Amino acid sequence: MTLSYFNIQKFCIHDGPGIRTTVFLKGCPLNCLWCHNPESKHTRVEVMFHAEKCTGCGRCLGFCDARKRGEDGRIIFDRSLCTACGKCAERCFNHAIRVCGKQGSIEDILEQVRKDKPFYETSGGGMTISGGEPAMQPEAVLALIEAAKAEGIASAIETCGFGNREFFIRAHELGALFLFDIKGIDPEKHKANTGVYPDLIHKNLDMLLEMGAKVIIRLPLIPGKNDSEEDLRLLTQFLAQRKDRVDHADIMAYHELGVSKSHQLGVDVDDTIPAGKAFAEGWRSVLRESGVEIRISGE
Amino acid sequence: MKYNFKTKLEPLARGFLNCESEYKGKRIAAGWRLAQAECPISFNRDYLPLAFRQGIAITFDYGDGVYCEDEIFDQIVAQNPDDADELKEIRKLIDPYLVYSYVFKNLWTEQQRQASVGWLWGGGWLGHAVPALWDVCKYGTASLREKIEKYREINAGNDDFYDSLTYMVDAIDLLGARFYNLAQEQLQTCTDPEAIEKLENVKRTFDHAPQQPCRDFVEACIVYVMMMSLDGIDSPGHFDQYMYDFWKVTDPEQREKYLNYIWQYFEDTRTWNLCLSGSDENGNDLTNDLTYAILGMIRKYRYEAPNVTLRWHKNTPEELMKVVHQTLAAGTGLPGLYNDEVVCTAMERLGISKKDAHTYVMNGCNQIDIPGKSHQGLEDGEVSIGKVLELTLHNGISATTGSDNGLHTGDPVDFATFEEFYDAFIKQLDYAVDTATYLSNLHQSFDAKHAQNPLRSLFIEGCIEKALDYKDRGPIYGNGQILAETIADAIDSLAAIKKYVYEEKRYTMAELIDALNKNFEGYDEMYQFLKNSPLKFGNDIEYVDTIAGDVINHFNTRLLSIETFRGGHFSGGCSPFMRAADWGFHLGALPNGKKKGETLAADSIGATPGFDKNGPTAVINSCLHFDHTLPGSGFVLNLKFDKDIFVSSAGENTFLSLWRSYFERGGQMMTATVVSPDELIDAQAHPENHANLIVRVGGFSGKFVDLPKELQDNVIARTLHCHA
Repeated sequence: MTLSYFNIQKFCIHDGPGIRTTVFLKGCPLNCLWCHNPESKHTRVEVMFHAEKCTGCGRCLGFCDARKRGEDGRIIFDRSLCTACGKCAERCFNHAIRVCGKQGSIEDILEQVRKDKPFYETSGGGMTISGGEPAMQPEAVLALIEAAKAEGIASAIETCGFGNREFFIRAHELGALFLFDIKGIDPEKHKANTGVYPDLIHKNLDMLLEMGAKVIIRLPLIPGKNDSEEDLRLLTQFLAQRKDRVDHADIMAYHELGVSKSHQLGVDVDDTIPAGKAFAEGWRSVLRESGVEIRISGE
Repeated sequence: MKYNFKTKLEPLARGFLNCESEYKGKRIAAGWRLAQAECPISFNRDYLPLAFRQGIAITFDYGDGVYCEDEIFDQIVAQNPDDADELKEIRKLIDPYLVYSYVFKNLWTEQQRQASVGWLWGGGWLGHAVPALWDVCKYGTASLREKIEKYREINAGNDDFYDSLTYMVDAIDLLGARFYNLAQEQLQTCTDPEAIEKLENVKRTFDHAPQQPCRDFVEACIVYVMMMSLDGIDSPGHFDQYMYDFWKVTDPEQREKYLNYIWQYFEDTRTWNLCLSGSDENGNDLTNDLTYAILGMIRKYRYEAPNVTLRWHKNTPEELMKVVHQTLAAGTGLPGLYNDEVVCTAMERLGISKKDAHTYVMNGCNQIDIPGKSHQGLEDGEVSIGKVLELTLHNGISATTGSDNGLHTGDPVDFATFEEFYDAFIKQLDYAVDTATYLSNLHQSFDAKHAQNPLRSLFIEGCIEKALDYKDRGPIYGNGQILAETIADAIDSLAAIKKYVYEEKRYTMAELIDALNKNFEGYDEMYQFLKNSPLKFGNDIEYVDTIAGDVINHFNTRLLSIETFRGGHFSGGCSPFMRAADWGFHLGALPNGKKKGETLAADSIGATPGFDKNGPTAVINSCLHFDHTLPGSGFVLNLKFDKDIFVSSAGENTFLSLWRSYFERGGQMMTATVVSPDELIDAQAHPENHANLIVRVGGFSGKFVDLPKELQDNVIARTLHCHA
């Protein structure tokens, strides 16, 4: 059994409690306008090209048709011809080309994760499975959680909530902590923003809360997209209805990190959204009225 | 009186020259005593007494012995035309006795030949120590005189030595009396009520001190500063321990004031290193309210000196660890953290008793010392491990200078296996260790005859008892310390040679050496490949870290097997800090993808800056491949944190966990730098040097160098704001 993933990052301290290693999976059923990890959307291997870092040395040329030197001397990358073989990335010393995505066995991943086990023990941390969307690769993710558990490593799942309920039940039974995104309440707006209706997401959340699962609600708030007065009113109401079963909710203020990565993937993206940090306190003061403790992630 | 000098200038030299003893230590003491009687004395802004060094050019210092500051001497001559001839005569007469005279004459040639290529050095300066100067505060000089006389009788026939000690006690008493008079004199005209209060404190102190013990913290601070300035300002040792009895009995307002005064003095004089907390030999925690008061003060006033180190052990209170986190968050990088569980084991390996091992403190930059009982070298020499590798690649020839410095271990082109290459490297390393320790021991034997320090002989146990000077095998413990530099450069290069020359055969040894000789000119592909190779120390890669452990454990073990002239054993360590760039500068091109003269070398046992790409947990895991109970000099790991992460709600748990995990698993020392805006600006200009700098963006932590320029600007602006 293998997992499709693109990164294993050590020393993550904002993806759940303590010091954590985060496994970033590939593949996500949503298509958020503001996606901050655009390289995780597709399960397939992709080639990222960071034009600003390209010095035009030409070492990547000459063994496929996807790369050519343009008339201005710069390297042109035609994605439609790219087979993601990765040869160009191997030859690029400026880190302008990066292959994103690989298949790994449970053991491949655990080999990296277990290296920091002593730090999980002193900090109350563990492994976070993020994405992409863990629920897209349910069997392998559950196997990973189970194998980690057998070694005494606790898991957290960062999820958009859009997945098979069976997956969430079994992950809960294995003791996983859920970092559960709520990206909006209004169905049509949610569809416009993320590509899906929120019903399934909200149902899965309620099911987990009903079962007494460990859940931290995360609220990605995106200026101009899901933070209108009405959005916040509905969100406050949503939280208030669940306040007895929710420990706290984290505001994840929008940041522009994903824009540059989208450009590297050749994907169009709305690059006009302002950073959310400045609005975070204002959001919090509204959402607090739900009676749920609201934290701003990273503070 | 041998000479009948008319001048009143240069008392130390006159006292020295007029003492007719054969024993140089006694002549030094005679000069020193005369200097205390005649040199101008003064108070600092807080009316703490400053001794000794004013108005003279021929002087004494723990690091240099008797020496002459020639520029000052010329000024004094120019300002005193009537005394000029006599002063020049004095200068000529004293010259053969100045420490540098014998250094240059006797061993500087070999010393320079090795040091100038940036390979190694041994000996050459007289070293730090932590003499128990606080004994004057605690017991008074009257008890010292009794002790001297007792041992004069026991060790009959050593009158010259014991005279040298008596002269120094005279000097201390003389100073006390003169400061009493100076305070008295200034009180007659002083009108500022605050100054009057401070002067009255001086007066009441020297009313009975230094002959009799101090009665409270105010008096102890005043006497201790006088002793520090007399000794030449080294490291104050375990301050929260020896001062605590005084602290306890002093009015809270008064003691807070004097704690600040003495810290201001430490900072003004760039006092080296001071130690807090720790455990005794039974594992009892030594933390007290003075420990907390000092940390609180550093946090509040952001004192940058002295370097403060805190001793951790398995019973260190959680509360103290939290206060340390808050203190580090203030951004001065203090305190540094040492692990008793490891250091005490390292000390016991050096023949130090368990009880004494638990009294250890930090000295100099970050070297371990046993206060009041040892002359541990501090430091006796350094070896650049990266240079050792370079010499191995060039059959003993320094690639940067073409000079023949090392052992001829053979042309690496002829080595069929990595094992052969590694053997040659180890032979070269052993030769470097042997050369550095030989030079150091040679120096130590000269020091014993030429660089006595009668003041330190009074305050370091063993000297009085054995009738031997501090420099002449007097102290109970006489171990030595040789530091390793550019460790990561050597490790990364060895890994590259093993993998790419011998295993993958990507390059031949001849190609590699040719590329290095040409500083990678015409070898751009190889340069980029080696530089970007992931096989770099500090990334938790077993392949590399195993080599690291083998090399450094060998270096440290070999040192332990070599005896010092002082009657102990050498041990290793690593604490380059600011000197890292100097060592880096002397390296030729290396197989880890570094070009000649790139000054970027590791500032600790960690990775070469920019080569560690997986965060602090990976660096820590890599560094735990070293046996930290071997290096008895101090084995520093420097970690850097973004200020925003460090002070965030997750910051405390994160830092305390890293600290605890590192120390519980056998790490010896850790410093935490909370990143300054300057570093961020440099990271923007030179991202290749800062691959591991993690900053916070919104709710996410990210690598600074991966952020788009605008976001980097944003982070810089924010950090600047935090510092404003």
